[in-house]
Amino acid sequence: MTDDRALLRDTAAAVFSAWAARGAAELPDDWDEALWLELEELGFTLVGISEEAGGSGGDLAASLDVVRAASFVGAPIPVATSALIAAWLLAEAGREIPTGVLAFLVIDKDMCPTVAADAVAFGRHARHIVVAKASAGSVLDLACVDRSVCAVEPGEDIAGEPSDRVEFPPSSLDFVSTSIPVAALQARFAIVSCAVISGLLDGALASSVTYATQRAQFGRPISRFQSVQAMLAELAGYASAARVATETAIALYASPSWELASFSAAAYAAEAAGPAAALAHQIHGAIGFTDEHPLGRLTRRLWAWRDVWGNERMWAERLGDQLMTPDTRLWDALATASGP
Amino acid sequence: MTSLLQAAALTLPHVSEETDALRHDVRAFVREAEDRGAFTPRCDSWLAGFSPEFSRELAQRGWVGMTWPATYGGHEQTAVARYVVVEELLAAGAPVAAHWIADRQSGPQIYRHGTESLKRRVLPAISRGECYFSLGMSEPDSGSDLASIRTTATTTDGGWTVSGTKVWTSHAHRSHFLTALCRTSEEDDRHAGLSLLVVDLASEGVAVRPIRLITGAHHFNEVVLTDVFVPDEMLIGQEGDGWRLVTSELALERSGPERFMSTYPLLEAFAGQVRSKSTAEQRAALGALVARLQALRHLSLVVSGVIASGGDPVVEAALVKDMGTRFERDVVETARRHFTRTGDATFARLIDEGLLSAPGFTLRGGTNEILRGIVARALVAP
Repeated sequence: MTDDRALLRDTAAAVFSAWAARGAAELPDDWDEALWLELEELGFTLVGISEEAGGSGGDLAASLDVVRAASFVGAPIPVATSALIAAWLLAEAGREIPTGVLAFLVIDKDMCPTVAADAVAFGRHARHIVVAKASAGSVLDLACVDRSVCAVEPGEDIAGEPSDRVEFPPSSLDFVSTSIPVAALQARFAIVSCAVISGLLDGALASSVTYATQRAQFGRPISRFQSVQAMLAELAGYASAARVATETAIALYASPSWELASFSAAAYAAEAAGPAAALAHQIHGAIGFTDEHPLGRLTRRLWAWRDVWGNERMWAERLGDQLMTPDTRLWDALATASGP
Repeated sequence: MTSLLQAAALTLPHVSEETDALRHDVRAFVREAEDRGAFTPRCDSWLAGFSPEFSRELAQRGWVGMTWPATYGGHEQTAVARYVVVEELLAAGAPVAAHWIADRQSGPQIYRHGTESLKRRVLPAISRGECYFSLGMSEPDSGSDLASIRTTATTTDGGWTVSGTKVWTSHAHRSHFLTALCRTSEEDDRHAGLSLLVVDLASEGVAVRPIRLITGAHHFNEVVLTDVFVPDEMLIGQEGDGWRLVTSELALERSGPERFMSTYPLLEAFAGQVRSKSTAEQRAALGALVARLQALRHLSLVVSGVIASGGDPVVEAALVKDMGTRFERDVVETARRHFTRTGDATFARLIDEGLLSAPGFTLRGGTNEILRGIVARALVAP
């Protein structure tokens, strides 16, 4: 790991752990504007976007490190969608990146020009909404809409985060074609959701370890019971593997194996999220199932993120589809010259 | 808490162009060998595929004893290079059992802690693919609780006299040496007073009896040692070092690709079935297995990088083995659930091989229950 990367990680971890230290009861579930502004100040809301494009610099690894740090504490801010998807798309398209929260939406190519969309994450807090649709030739058309012209009806997702219905007025969707392949966005979805889930799994593991060490029953910490140890170990396995999968995909970014590695990471993480959340809750007992304990902030987001741009079944199928080249061996696709 | 279990630190080892070229060479060689009928790909080939001819052929290409110095017949390659060779061989289902334990574990142990005469006696022979080792750990009354072993070694003129019984000793009937954990003194701390001795299996007083598997196959043995003389030079490390040495080789024993690739040849055959005629459900089932395999491969590679840089990632190795061995079993169950057995005899045979060897996956080299305890205790350690 480079020193720069370690420094960024430490900074991000410090910001988010200070935020979480306020205690579960003090922390909002759905949006924390003060935190967002602090992140904006630090450049974390445009990390991974080059300075020429109006971002704060840093590579994919740096931006995913921020996402993982935010996820580690279940922070209610849309840094993953705003910085890593919406801003990234605008930067790739050579468009100007407006300030403030960017929401993001993919629409069906037949839905234009007047649309209403459900489940726009953080729609009500966005200043702009980036809308993508696939055009002929498997590249994306993009529109960047001022949210204030839209009607927003609040909703929430399973994590309690804003998931709003947005109505775009006629002709507000001014699509411009880009050369961004649809496949590039798919791979981006994959790596971002894997990184979010990886951060959440690490957070759930850390919380489980702390709880199992501190909670005593039958006169000893529950971490001494073999059945609890088995659950901790299994949870640690999910968390470690999701972390490695994320790192591997990062290492293969822009290589011929990138798509396969990112789909693989997403399929693994989405599959791990459910059983890992169940393990974490079982380890924590009843307190973890209450709003007095921060665990729910993590597990609710695990349940949300494993479904966000495709669930484990869909990612696995996309991965499987990549492996259908006839007359080759599976192994040739898995252990390639370019990758670790 | 150990580093790999923490959220922050994780470094993927660098794979050089030379290593990529090596991967290509190994792959080309094993496919050529398969084509000429040198072997038939099978599940669990690192335990069940015993072929001295094939081991010698690999050794001639420099793929046994790869990381040792040339002085001892080695090839001074990196741990990552060895990793690549080993996973290519396992992916091919090649018969690598004969030299496996010597190359993975006993050789490195002897290289690090053996006497000079022992090193000169066995390491070049291992590197030639001609010298095979068995592990003498478990006993009739000592399985997971290894420190309770009762095989004793007492000092005698010029060496040791060893007596006791070892069980589940794979390939002892055709290996040359046994690394035997023996009690050399009674101490209050039961982890003290243990020593690691290399027993020449041709010695007087060694009796090897088969313990047949549920299939009737023979690789397990009971090894009865009755007043077997073992010269001083065959002691690894110092007297009383046994527990430390045995636990220090656990990272090598538990983190390698053989802990998640024992059923890889079946996964390859399953992929072949999916390619020839498949539903979306079947492609998703393949994708889900591949996602797990890739995560395990890279986890294992990270651990091998830690070993190479002088670390002793026993905990992470336990994690890999626990997850990996469950994956090996899931490959079999998934493959058999998605296609009927009829129509492809190879596919059906690989399913049977996988199923019939699967009970061993989560037992050998430390049961998964013990492994999880190791991981959890490291997690909660202050």
